[in-house]
Amino acid sequence: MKREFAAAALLLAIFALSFVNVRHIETKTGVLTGEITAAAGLIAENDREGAIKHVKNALAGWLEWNRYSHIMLRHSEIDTITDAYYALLQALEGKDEVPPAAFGSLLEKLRGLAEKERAGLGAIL
Amino acid sequence: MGIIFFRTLIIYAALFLAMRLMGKRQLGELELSELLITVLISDIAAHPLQDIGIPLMNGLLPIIILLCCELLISGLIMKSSRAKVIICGKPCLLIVDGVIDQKEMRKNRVTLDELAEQLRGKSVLDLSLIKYAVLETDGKLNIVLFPAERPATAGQLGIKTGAGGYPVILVNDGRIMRDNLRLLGKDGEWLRQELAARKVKSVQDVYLMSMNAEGKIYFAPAEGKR
Repeated sequence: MKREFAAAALLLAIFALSFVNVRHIETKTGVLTGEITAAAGLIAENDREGAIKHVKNALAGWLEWNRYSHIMLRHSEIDTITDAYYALLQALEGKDEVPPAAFGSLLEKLRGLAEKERAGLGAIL
Repeated sequence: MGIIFFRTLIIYAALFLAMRLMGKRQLGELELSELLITVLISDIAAHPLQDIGIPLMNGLLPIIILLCCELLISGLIMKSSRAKVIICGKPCLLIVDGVIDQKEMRKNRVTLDELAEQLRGKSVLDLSLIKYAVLETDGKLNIVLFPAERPATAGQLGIKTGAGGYPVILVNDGRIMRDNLRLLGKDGEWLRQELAARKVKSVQDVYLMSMNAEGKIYFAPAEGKR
């Protein structure tokens, strides 16, 4: 009977951890999208240096999260987001005007991470 | 993680139901839940191995979930006979008193050819000799012949037989199995004498030597060494 209890407990633990995982991804991506949104706001005010600082902070935060993200997320998604960070940074460091879509693309990808992990009926089926 | 959790449970339940409806003919010495675990795990485990872009967790998590399901189901089967009938089904009599139960045959998707094949495998060619043919829950067919058709046993014939006993390996390809020697109450000196009696100088020259509880020794010299 001990084995059955252990199995049931493990199933419940995995079920609970799946919610913790989504919550953690939401929190982490929330912080990162906050930085990107702030950067987009600064660009609108023509503060390019401030925007670059926020994007670099967000990129550092994203790269620090490397171990967890590589264990829990598809590596192709991680690579896409990392590429989007560098593309945005490159655009900001250039002389051309940065379109809002450059921020929007990265924001969408970050928000999509938690969305894809959420166990909704559509995602399951 | 949550998606993997629910998907694994849904696929497990769907396969379970499908295999259950297919009948016991589809099984082969494994109970239904064991077969499903075998089929699913072998496939799930292969994906993260083939594609390093998929996190290992995506392969490990379903395996853990399936293992838990199997433990819960096998525990339930042990505790409740009703649950065992629902999950594994119950043995079916395909032949009773030499007569084929056609309804049971159809229910279990067993064709006459398959029945005949199974019976040939048991050296039974005449259906009328069979008292019962039972399709077990793991898909195996067991038969019971009419008493008059069963082979006579040594006891019925009044023949005295030895106790037999399990043969224990004493020398395995030139290596002495010391634990087995001790088990039979023998020692290295006894083994040396037995080998000398067979004109064998070294244990290296023995491929297999075993002894049963009655003391009967089987001896096979190593080829090309003597």
